[in-house]
Amino acid sequence: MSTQGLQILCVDDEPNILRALTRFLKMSGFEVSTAGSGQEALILFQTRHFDAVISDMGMPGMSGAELLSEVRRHWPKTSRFLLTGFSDLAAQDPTLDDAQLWGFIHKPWDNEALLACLHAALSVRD
Amino acid sequence: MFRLLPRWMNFLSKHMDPTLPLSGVAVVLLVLVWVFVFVRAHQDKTLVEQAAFGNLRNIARSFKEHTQNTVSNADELLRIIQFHYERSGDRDFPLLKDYFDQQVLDVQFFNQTGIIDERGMYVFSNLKKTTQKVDLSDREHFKVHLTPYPYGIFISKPVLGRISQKWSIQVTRRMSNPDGSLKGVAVASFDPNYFTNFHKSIHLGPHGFTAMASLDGGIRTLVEGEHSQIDGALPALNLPQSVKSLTLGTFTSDQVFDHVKRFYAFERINNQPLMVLVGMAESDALLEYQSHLRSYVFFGGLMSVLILLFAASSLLLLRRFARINVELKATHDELVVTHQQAQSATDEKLELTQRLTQSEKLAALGQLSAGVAHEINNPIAYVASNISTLKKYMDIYEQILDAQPQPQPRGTALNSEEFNLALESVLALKLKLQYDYVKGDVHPLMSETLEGLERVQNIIQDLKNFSRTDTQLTWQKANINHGLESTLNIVSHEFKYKAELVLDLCPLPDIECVPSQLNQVFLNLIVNASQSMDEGHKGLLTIRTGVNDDASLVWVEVQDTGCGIAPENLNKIFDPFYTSKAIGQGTGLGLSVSHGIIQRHGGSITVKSTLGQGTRFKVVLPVVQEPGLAPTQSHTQVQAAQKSLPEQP
Repeated sequence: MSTQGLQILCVDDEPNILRALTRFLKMSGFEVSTAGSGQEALILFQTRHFDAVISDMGMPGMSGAELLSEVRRHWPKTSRFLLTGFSDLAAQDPTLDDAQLWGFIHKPWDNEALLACLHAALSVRD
Repeated sequence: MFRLLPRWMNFLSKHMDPTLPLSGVAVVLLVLVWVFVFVRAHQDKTLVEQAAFGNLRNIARSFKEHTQNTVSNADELLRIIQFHYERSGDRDFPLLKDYFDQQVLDVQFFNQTGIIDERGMYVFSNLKKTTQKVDLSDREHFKVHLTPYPYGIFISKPVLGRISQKWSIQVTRRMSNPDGSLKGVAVASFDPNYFTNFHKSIHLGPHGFTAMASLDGGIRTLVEGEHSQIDGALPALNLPQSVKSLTLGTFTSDQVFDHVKRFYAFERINNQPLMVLVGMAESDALLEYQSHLRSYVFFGGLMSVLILLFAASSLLLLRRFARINVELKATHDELVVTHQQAQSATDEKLELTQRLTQSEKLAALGQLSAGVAHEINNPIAYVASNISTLKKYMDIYEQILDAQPQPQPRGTALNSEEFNLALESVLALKLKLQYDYVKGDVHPLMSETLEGLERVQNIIQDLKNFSRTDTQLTWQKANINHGLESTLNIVSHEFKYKAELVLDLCPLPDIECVPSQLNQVFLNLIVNASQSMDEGHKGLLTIRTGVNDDASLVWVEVQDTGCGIAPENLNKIFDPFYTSKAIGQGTGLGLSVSHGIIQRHGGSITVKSTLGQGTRFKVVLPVVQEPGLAPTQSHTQVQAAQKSLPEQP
């Protein structure tokens, strides 16, 4: 299946993380947008469609779990991934029950594994 | 050695039983008192005796004078009778009788007066009624005149008068014929009561004694106390030898008449083998002395009791001193031991404090590890991702390089059409591989990757700085601002999603401190501030530093907008193991250890808090440490002055 033109939104408060994600996703044919916080991401969702969202867990203001719960409520078709260094701790967050994640992505991530995960999610959706 | 007792007392209590010298002193005092009593009593007695003897002598003198006058009176009478009888014999009897009848011769105190002839017959009497002749030849007062009597007149013992029928003392005088032979004896007999009444008028006490006696002890008259003796059955007086040889004198005896001890004074009657003797019982004479003696003995007794009491109480006191001294010494030894124990306990406590500080640091580090891992994780993540992407970029570069038109062998150069075709395919490849994007992104990728690595390096360095165990604690010059920044690097995760950090750092002089320990304090304060704020509403974490006017103190403030501390807990926050955090969130040692660290730096840590509004901790530190004070020692004076006094909100 082709990933060409699929819209991915990356959310993290660390710009270098966003840029690293953008680089390799772009090289893999995705259209990549970035947001520095949950609020910013929700604003982008108002204007566009995203096939998948990858959000960091720990962010100032709105946490990743809260964002993904919100995304699930309003844009359930968007596949939701949580990026976290401590997935075992993050998994205890009760708001994650609402988020219905496709998967956790552990920091530091493996580019190829992340791609495979995205592909899997997006192909099932199709 | 404590010196609570004078040296001599110390010496005494140590080297000598105090009983012996004290008893000695007491005995000497007692002896002195009683010697004094004895001497005084003796002097008194001597004085009283002398007075008594003087008195007795005077009485004896007047007694003698009285007796002598009486005898003289009698003698006068006898001489008149003698004159008439010697000259005229019995022819003058009527004349003599006339003298008495007409009271020419006054014989009031005589019982009778008369004449005994040479044969011993009483031939004449002044008493009218007497007519019969009485034989007196056997009487002593007649017989002594048979030979010339050396003393002129003879004074007899009392005898019962054969005519008068009264006890009388007979005073007789020899009358001689012209040839010297005995012509007769003139006799005057008088009532011994005449003397004894006189005796009785002399007051010599209940056992007073007066007597007239011959030198060999023959009693003429005698009064002893109330008893007067005039009858003839008297025992002779037992007189000392001195009485016979002296005309007057004194003596003491209990043998003279009865066995009452008396002072006696005697005096001879002129020209007679007679003497008067007056005596006073010693007990009566010394009556005054006895009362004095009682006073002296009472005084002596009182003094003795006082001395004994003094000695006993002194002994008790000394023994008590000795005991107290022993106890003091024991206490002193105990104190020395306690002091040594306290010293070693202090040493131990210092070591424990050191270890506690280190433990608390490690505990804090453990808590921080998640955050620190997160801090390291992010750069590692994007560095790894970037390297992976870079590998792809390298592939793209390789493909594009490979697609470049290759240099042809000589003479077979590409024509322009072929070259253009080759270039177009390269361009198409570049487009396909997003070469322009890759080319533009390589440099940012590289710089971001390097930045990530540097961040990891810094965090590791800060962690190493923080966790270092300071085995050799010495003051080091360090800048507080650098310490704060370094600490913020490893704790930023604690607050960065909850609070905005406001840094207001003034340029500071380097201060003498143990930097890793101060960083530990800052870490505790920042972590506490972070934990007091919840994630819901973004708070403010404000960190300020400053320096006072004369650059002797620097200060650090860590202020949060968190939950605050209840006033009743403000006093407890520096106590060990006090924590408001959930189990597993804190050791309860952070502020306690921080307090200790600041104290050892000679600084102060104060807190001001309002419940629900936030808390501000302020640490003040001296720029220069007291010379000679190691970082391990407490600034006790500071400790006393500033022990965890919270600022009032």
